[in-house]
Amino acid sequence: MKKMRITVVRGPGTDGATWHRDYVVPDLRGASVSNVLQYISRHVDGDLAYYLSCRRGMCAACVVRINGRNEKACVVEIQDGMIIEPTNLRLLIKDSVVHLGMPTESEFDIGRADLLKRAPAQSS
Amino acid sequence: MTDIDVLVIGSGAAGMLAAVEAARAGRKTVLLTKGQVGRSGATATITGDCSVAGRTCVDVLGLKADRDDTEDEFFEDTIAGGKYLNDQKLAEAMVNEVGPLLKSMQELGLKLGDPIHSPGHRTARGVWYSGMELMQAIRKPMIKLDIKVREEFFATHLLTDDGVVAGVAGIDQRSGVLAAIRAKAVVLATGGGMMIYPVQTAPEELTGDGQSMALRAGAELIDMEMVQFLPCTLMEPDIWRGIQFPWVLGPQSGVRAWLLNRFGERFMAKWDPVNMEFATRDVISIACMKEVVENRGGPNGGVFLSWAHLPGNIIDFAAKWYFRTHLRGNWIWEGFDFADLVRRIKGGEAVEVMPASHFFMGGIAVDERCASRVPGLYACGEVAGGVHGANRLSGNASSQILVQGTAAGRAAAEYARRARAAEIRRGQWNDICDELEAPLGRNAGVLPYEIKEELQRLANINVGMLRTEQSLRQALDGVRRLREDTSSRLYCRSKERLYNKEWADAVECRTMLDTLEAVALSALKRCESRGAHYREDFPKQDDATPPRNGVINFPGGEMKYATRAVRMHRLLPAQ
Repeated sequence: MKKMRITVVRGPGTDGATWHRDYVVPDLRGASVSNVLQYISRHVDGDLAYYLSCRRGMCAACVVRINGRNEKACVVEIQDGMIIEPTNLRLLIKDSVVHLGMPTESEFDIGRADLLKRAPAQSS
Repeated sequence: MTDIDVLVIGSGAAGMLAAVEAARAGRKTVLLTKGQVGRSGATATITGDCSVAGRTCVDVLGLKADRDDTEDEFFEDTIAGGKYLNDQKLAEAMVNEVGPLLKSMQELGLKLGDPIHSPGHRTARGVWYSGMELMQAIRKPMIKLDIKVREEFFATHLLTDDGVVAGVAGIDQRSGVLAAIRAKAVVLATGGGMMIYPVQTAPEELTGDGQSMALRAGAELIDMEMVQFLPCTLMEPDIWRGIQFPWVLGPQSGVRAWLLNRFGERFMAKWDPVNMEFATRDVISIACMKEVVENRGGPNGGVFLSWAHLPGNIIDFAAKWYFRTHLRGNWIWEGFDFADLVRRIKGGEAVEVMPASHFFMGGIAVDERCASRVPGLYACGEVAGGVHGANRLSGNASSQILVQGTAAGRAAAEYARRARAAEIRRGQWNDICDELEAPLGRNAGVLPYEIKEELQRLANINVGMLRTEQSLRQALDGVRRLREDTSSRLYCRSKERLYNKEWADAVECRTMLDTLEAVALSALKRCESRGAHYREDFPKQDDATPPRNGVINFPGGEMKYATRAVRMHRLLPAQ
């Protein structure tokens, strides 16, 4: 069976940099870019982060840069050789996931709230 | 540090409205969401209608409709559509209050279109709007009231102190931190659990989190067997799977397309010879599945929708009177270009379609103020059960979110004004952390997606549109097996805490298993067919005795089922 090669820009690493990672997947023509990111995350690389909600081009939260253009990943059909990047490196959370929060909304600060936390560093 | 009065979980329209209402009442309000505000939840997928009585459409909203249609007729259709299983107090509040609330959305800038006539309603009541635009409208008061939000916070547990709500615990995905947030009142607005099925019209995040959390905190779940499947969604290619364009261009509100089996028979004649394809969703979905399992379906396991009897210009005409925000005449609908598909349809080709899981009529049992039986815990929108009974009519979900979102915010604010903040119990918090971290601590076993896929397969085969005692027992056995796997062998390959999708999937295994078990158990115990619930071994509705609601609770860590009389203070079923 024909395979597809998909490149995903990953990161940030501990040094803050991103890197390209190639994934070889089965021929998934007819699937969306979102379907394929989910496929890779589930079947190839459990560490890959992606965002997916409505799957029909409404919520626009899955926007990624596909071959250099910002597009909703759920409505673009996958093609062999596609390069998938985050839309904005300054707002990067992880891999293709960026902080899309509206600047008009005020964020509840989890770090200063009246709460208990078990942070990564404290865990056993 | 001041205490949070009202903590709202979920950022569809119901959650946003609850937060606005609580903040307006002067309460310190925070909104948490697993997704992103205005960009997640089922509200984002509304390219449809909101039911309002005709007279109110005309007098309050200034739209064209039938002035002879009042809230009384709207109420009657809702109860008849729900097969008399609706909580009539909840339904009454919904039909009476939706008009003025939609008016206030209109005043915030929401564009409305003249109502359409959908199945189950006796006249045109479906006021057009866009869910994305609705959320943009509600965002205005949210910003004005400076409501604090935390996005991509996955609320996983309710904290309780001596049976009273103390707050919420979960994973802050953007930082990877586990957090417990204290609050006097919590409003759940987390939506349905459609993801327990493999094909859904609903967004990815709707995994029954609220139902699972509430049940484990002492609330009841009502009529969980009532799952609505939307007929006539696309099957292929994968990118279109579950998209309801054929439904929209056909039975729902477009032109009168015909449902055919592989012999070309119009099989709806066997189920509803009067309404045919204009029957309610429950009947059409069951009829479609029956064709498929009895080997009269198409090659992909669906049935066919055909427009071949219609002249092409009548099909074109559908787009001309459709709400312009949704369909502009170029056949781009939602995010997809269907021009090619429409060309094939006009060329006489039938489209193979299937029902997809669409809506949960069942959910957390609440009263008219959206209060659950746990002090301080409120639920609104799809996560709350009871208002739609055994089948929801088109447009009534939009009515529900406006009315219940507002009611829940108001009631939670009033409760929080009087309540003292409960304490977070250290023991409970440590147990939650241990449970959440367990899959990160294992290096082998079973992966979250493997559990999810097996669970969806079980639900699809055994707890779908056609059910039997045997299939439901198999589902419950399967749930038991998957629970053992989940509690002892579930692991994540990545130990990274920041935005770990696999970790979130691992937590969703629990919420989805809870949801599936509740659906299967309720379905097993309802030995009749009613609305969306169809038992092949009991194919008739039991009209000899008054209908009863099925209720699940969780004493001692195990689901228990009981029934109780439906609250029906206005309409009794004909005997």
